[in-house]
Amino acid sequence: MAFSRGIHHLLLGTLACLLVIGLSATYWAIAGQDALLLRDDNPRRIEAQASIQRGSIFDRHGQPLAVTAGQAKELQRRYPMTSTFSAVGYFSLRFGTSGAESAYDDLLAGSSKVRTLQDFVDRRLLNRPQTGSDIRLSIDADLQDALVTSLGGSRGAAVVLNALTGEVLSLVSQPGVDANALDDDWEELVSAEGDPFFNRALQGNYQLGGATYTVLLAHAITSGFDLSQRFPRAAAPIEFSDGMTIACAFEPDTNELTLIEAYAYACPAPFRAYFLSEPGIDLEATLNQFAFDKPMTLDGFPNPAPINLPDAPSAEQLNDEALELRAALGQGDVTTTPLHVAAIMAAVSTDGNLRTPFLHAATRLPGALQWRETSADTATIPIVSVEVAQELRAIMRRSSSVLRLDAASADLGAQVATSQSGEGVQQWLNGFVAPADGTTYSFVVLLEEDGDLSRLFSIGQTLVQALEQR
Amino acid sequence: MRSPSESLSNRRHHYLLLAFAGLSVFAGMAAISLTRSSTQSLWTGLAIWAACALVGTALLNRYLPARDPLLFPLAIFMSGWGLVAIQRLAPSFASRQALWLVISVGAMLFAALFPHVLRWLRVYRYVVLAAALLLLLATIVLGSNPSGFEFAPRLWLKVGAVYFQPSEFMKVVLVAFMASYLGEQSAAIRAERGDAGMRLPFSPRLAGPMLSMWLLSLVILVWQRDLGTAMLFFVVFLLLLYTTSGDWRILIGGLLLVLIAAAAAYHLFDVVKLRVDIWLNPWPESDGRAYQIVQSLMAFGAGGILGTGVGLGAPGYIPVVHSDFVFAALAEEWGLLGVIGLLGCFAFLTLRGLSIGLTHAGRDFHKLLAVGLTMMLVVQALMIMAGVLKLLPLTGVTLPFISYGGSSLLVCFVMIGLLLRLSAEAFSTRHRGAA
Repeated sequence: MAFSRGIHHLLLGTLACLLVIGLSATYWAIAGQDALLLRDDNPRRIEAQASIQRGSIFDRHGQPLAVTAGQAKELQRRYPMTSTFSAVGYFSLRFGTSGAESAYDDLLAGSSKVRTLQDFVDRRLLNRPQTGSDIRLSIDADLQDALVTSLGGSRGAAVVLNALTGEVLSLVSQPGVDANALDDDWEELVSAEGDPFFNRALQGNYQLGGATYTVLLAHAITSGFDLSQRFPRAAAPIEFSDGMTIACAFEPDTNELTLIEAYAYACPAPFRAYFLSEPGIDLEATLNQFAFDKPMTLDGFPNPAPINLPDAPSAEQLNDEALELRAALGQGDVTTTPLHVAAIMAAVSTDGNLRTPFLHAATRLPGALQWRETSADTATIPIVSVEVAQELRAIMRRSSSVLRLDAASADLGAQVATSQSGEGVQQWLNGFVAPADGTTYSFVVLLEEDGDLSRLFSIGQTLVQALEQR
Repeated sequence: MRSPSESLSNRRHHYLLLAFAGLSVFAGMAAISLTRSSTQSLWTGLAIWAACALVGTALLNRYLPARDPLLFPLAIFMSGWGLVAIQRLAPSFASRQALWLVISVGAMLFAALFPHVLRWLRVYRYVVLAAALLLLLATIVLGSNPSGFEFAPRLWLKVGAVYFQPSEFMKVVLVAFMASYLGEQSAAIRAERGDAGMRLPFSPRLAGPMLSMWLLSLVILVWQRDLGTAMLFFVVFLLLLYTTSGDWRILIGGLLLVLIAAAAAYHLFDVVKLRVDIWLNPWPESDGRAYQIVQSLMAFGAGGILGTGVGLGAPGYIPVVHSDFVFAALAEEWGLLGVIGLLGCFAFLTLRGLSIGLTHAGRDFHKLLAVGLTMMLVVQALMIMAGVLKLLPLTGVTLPFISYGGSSLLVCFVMIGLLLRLSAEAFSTRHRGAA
């Protein structure tokens, strides 16, 4: 029949073309799906994120620290307690995440994967928004607020740990950010003086300075050194040939001090003398015993960042011996974070074991009523023996009285120190508070400022009172 | 004559198909209503669509009972799907599209029920062609673009407040003209094929119209910068020529002419160069010139197998989504299943349209007209779907029955009306033959 062959060919050709279209659509909808959807220029990604019912973040007492509010597809993240920024961080569709918002993002955002029939019905059929879990942090929002208030406009950090468990009760870094105003103030904030996005408590990789005196003191106790031995010219400053000078954090009444007294005033000269008189000290091994060779951070948080250290002195400026002395006095290459020092204080104030601090206390799945406690990392590193820890605790008790820090009923020990990092000087106040209820807290307060220590002591006193009243 | 029981059974089938289409359109409108505060225009649109479907079916059942049973339900189903898509994507255009649906169904009924329409198209083909060419010429001189953009293609003529695209009407006219011409020449072409063999493609009976059509397509491309229409006319004409001659070398020759024209157009016209460039590699310019096609592909990815659900996707990221890219929007919200459903509709349309061509024993004009109209609808659909999926460069044609566009919808329904008329005549011819 006329044309029938051609018409049949057209039919087959058209059906083949439709099949090709179908296969191509199948490719983009299934095989190429992830490659398309994960592209940075896919606006649907942002829209999908905006429609996620992100889980809330609470403090240890159930105070909301971050909540999701607003209408579907226009959900906004709100932060009722801006003082917790350094622990909670921020979540922004434009600028990403930081802090706990970043560390526990998988939990807070929930999973987009379809694993169960219920997931399939919710996501694929009913298009219900992705819902994340709530998390509870170990942070005590009131304590955090008190510390932020007392730090005021100073640049610095403060960390408080439950020394027995490793829970982080407070994690302050100043200056901070009001995460509620992030979208409006971003440009100003990223160029602001003091870099408010830099978490000094976790990432501020400072030189140890006088904090190494705890290490040297532990070595002296362990090696049976006579701690009643007095060192002459104990208050004299130490000047290195490259021009760096280190001195007592504050002036003692006398110029002859024991190591214990030098520890209280953070005077470097007796520790130099001790270090030089004990040629058997393996400095590296001694420091590593306190885990300074291992970066310490919280689970899910980034490792400490390198800081702007002063240029290393050249061989002409300092000989090997002077370099080692400098390291022994906390001004060498070894650096650490306030969190790490707080963990050392926790170990010293308890059984001498270093516990890994943690922030994430519990999780509540979407729709669930019950919290599921997070199993803490129970692995510990012994840094000193129980006996040495007890001795150090006693020394710190005496130091706290020199520092004029008072506790009404709690056992209190503290140490003051200074260090020089980058172009600045840091003041450290490290210690522990053990109220009568059997709890022990370790703490570190760090100020990036030189000169008078009164402000540091004032913050320390506020902290001690707050911990006593918990 | 059909028996009363057979006729009743057919009517039941018509209404059953209509009920299925109605349920689908209602479901789509209901889903959109959940995302809107004001739903009046949705239900008005649904009522207009239902009225068109019922009145169209009733009139066809009464005056054209022996016809292809699937074509009108398919067309009305797809146009209903299109109304849902426009309500979703460009609600401000929805009432206008509903009005065009009324006009289109009216025009379809005229084409299907008016007994002399096929004869007039055949007998007065030169008059109709001349009128259509004049309209096209008027577009070249007086054309405008509803968007008002200075550099947008001026493919529309404005009459009062109404814009229409003469090139859309050219589709019917050219197919009718070619079917008439080739129908008259078919006996001679077949005879030449037997005699001339290898020289057939160079016969003036074939080469002449092919080159004329090629030149007309080039004129459309050059003057109107309308790559889609130019390609569509030429491809459909080639397919008709192939159907008439049965010689595959026609297709090869036509393809060569397309390539020559495409190569020249690539170097001469920015719009063609742009479309080819972003077709070859859209990714480096995904937020620039290739934004539209990249977003279109992302819509397929976002839709997955089951789609996001009507009203729940984000097809608004695709510029002009309600027109050229409505297929991508359907893929996003209806998923791969929706895409397969739509491809199934066009497959059925092809099957029914071409089977009308096969059943017209001894009437070449009718056969070729059925083939040409079917191919015009389906090739247009293939071109835009392939463009949206990056299988071909974008051509800027609409997706028949689905995309927004009054002229396009009107002409699509006119073509369905003509196919219904052809199916009815094929049935009566067969019936007379059997009697």
